[in-house]
Amino acid sequence: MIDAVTAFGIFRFTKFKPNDDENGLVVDLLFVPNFGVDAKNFGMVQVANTLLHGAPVTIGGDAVIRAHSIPAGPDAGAHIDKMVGNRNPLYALWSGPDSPATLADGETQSDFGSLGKRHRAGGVLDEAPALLLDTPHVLESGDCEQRFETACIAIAGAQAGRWYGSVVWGWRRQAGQFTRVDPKTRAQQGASPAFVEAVTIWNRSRTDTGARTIPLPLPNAE
Amino acid sequence: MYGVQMYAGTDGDLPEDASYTSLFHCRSSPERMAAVANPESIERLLGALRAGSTPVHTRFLIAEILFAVEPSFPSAEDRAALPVIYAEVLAQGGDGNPWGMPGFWDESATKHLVALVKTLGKPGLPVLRPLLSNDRRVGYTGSQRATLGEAYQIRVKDIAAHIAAAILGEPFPVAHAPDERDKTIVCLAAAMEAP
Repeated sequence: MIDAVTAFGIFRFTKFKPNDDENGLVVDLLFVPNFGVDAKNFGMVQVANTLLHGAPVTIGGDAVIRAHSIPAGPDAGAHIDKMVGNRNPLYALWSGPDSPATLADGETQSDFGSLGKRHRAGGVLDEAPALLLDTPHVLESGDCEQRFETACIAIAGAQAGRWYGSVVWGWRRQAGQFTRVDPKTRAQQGASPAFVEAVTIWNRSRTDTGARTIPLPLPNAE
Repeated sequence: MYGVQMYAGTDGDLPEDASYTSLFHCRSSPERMAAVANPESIERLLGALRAGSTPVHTRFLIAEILFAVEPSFPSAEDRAALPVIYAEVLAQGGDGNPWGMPGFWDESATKHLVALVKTLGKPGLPVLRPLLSNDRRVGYTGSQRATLGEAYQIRVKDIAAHIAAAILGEPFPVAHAPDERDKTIVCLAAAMEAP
């Protein structure tokens, strides 16, 4: 178990290990809220970047993901980690082309995890961590790297729109040697400037059906 | 993975990366594709596509590039040969990125194979038939894509069934459990053999 602590809780990696082929990771990540959280729902948003031979890859050669990605600079290729048809930026939620344009109305996709909560109803504390499940891979041979920044945001309840900090993690292969990049807190109550840029791009993007993406509040850059 | 060095660096206008999949991804680079879209390059690619000595994965990649840059591609001659090339590549499993994931998103190879076999009509279907019993796993480079492919345990026969269903105009609901999908695949195989 690996913990990365923020001002609002703990990013807790209950699994963080190479997969059997050593071409990626198996990751189970919780966000465990602390007493400062008051939200009917919170969930994780992830920015991903895959590099091959040192250059960012637009996964699948897909124009939609390319349009979601930071186009140039040191974080070129970083993008909100979502399937091309999904309007909802929350990692575990699905919103199709005709869905309501609100984050919290997304449908949970259990293959990717679930939302969390921490609020009081009738004086009783109702609490659960958010969960993110990821098995990032690179099938190509040669030097490669996958970088992630995962942040947590309240999407319903008293603190809706508040960010709870972020964690960075990943893995790389150089000259055939697999290396984990262990999780480390990146931001206490916001996210990195690259994450903010990826959110800004996401907020003006469209899915593969042409539907508008559901915008996120911008986190403070830390 | 699958080298295409036979074309790399010959005149600087073709993709030069060493790996097959990297080249496939590079295909989405407008700058690179624009550089390939000239008569000499297209002629050279067509020659390599039609040469029996060219490895099948390279022929597949060349076809995908030609689809992207040459509006008149494929000719009638190429149209007849391409389904076999595409089916051979799919049969080997491994990298699902060129195909997409049934029920979630289609990539260009799936779209092209559907269109090619539809053009041939029912006589084109036998090329898919052996793939419907091919259990080889297919994976995806990425994060959510890779996770979804793992969760569904996608196999060659799932992609083949998705393609066959599209050609036949039949549904292929992508059940989460492979065993459930197998029941639909058996029905699809029977539909393909019906007169």
